[in-house]
Amino acid sequence: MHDDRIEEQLRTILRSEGDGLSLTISASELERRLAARRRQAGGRRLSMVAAAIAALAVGSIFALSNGWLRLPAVGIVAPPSASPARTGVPSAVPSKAPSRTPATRSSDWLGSPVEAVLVRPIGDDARPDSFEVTRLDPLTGISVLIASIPGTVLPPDARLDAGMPPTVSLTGWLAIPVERGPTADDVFRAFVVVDLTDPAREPVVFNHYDAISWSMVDGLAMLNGEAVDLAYPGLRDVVRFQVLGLPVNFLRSSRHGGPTVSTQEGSRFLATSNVGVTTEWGSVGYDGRFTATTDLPPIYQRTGLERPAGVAAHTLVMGCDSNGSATAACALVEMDATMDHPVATWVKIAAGESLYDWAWAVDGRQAWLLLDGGVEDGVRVASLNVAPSPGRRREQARIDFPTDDSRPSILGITSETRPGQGALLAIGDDAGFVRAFVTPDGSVFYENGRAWFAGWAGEQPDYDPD
Amino acid sequence: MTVDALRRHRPETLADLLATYGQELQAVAYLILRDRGEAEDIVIETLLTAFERGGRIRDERALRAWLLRVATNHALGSRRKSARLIRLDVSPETAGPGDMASESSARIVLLDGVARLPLQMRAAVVLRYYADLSVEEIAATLGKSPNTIKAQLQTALDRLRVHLADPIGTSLGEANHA
Repeated sequence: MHDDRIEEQLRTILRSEGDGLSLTISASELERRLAARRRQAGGRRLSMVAAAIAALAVGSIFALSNGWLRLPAVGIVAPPSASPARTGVPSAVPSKAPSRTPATRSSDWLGSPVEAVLVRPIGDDARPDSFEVTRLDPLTGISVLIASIPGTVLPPDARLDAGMPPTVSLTGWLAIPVERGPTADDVFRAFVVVDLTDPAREPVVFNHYDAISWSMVDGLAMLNGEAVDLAYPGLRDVVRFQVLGLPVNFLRSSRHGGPTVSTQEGSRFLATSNVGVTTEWGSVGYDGRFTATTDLPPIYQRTGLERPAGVAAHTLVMGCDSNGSATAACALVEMDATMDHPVATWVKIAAGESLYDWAWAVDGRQAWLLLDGGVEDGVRVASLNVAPSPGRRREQARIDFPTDDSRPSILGITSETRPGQGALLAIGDDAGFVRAFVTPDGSVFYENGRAWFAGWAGEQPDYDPD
Repeated sequence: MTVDALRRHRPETLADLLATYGQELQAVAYLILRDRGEAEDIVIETLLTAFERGGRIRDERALRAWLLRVATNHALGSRRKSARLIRLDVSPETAGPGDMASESSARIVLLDGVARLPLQMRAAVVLRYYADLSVEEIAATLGKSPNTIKAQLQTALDRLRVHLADPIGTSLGEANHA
């Protein structure tokens, strides 16, 4: 046989064989593997930092005495309006479901999924001298200092935003919300992002944002009015996420959270869109286009509260019927995706009772309720209940709260600590300060002092009720 | 656009790279290794390597060649690390009537022949006849001289010709022990 003929046969057969393979890898899978690589690199980096500290200490004493070292300056990133617009990659996204490689998710250097990351301001409430970042295992009470951040990381005109807690990324970036501005009447919110592997390093500051969410790969999704910008602190880069077609409302991940980050292939954020008087739930893809669906894509969870909805895009809302009387009858009602039709009543609130907070469980099927438990021995009590289905609930724990103006809140929910053993919850106030942890068996472990709950140390499973 | 995005080091680039090059890289890795799982791992490793180190690439053509080089080296390295003897089977197919049976049979025999080629030679064949790289590009990819690649390709064709003529009686060297 002539070479030309064999060559032609080879081309035909190899192309048929190679092109016949379906590509099952997803962009989400790539992002997870990238995150795993970075976590491993971060762990290695930490070890190297620890090993280098002794040597540096000796060198620093010498250098300081000679005036060689200077404290890091505070850095400001250009406002997002100066950032280039991002173009979508509609054809770049395979439609297949992402494959999973759980083994790559176990190398979190921060800690495990049932450990909490706490941030404790030391010193002045508005401008602390420093921040202590610790990892706490509520089940054993063991606490480990992760980093001590000098207060000088805050810009000179910045004060802590009292109503919003810091949040930590899985790979060790901490975003501290602050208020900035020359006068009390002229302030804006900003986020100071610190690398926990190198806390004294110059921070990255993102100005003029309302709320943020971490993605799985160090990405910050930042709400700026109606728009979402994407930032990567390691790259000091901000880009605008463009929405094409109908305007959408990006769904917030939780009370303090930013946009709800989807982990499904081809899907980026959850959003609603109004068509006439009807609200449609859906997701905004990498291409910036909204797709209506009640089959919501999986969501990346840092605290376990990142779900704006349970299964089938059903939401829990508080409804009250005053009937013209002074005492209203209220209930926590499950609404369908249109928000027009009640599906079930989960809990009725009697006159005089109060429901402080509620949240879908991590699987989107059960609900957690935090009710006013009255006053016992002069102490305010919050009653934590779990409702496995509408109309049914049982008390999981009772938590003492100081008698002040703060509102008890659910700050974080893990998935089951072990299969069949229930979740671990972080309970605190509406400013994000943790009060106690409630274990699956109902035990309550109080946290001493003022510390923010910044997220779980390890990765929670994506919320995917299907 | 991918090259520019790589230089800017944006994570969104991963989706772009996957869509643009994933299929081809997977096919190259699979045709060299005949192992679907390993091929997927190689695609992931290649794209992550590109994301982390690909910022210096200047144009799309160079990027594709570089990606193929990284994937091929991962594939060759992957098989070198494996001490196992791997039988590179080609699944039998049901023969159809007439010409189709003949074509199918030739296809099986030829794929079997490629699978029995020595690993480096097989990589050269895949890069030449699947990825359509030039001899010079293959030489750069495999770290050999163009003359060596030309010789390898010619030897491969000779062996495949013999194999097609006598698929049972021929041995193509150490090919079935990758």
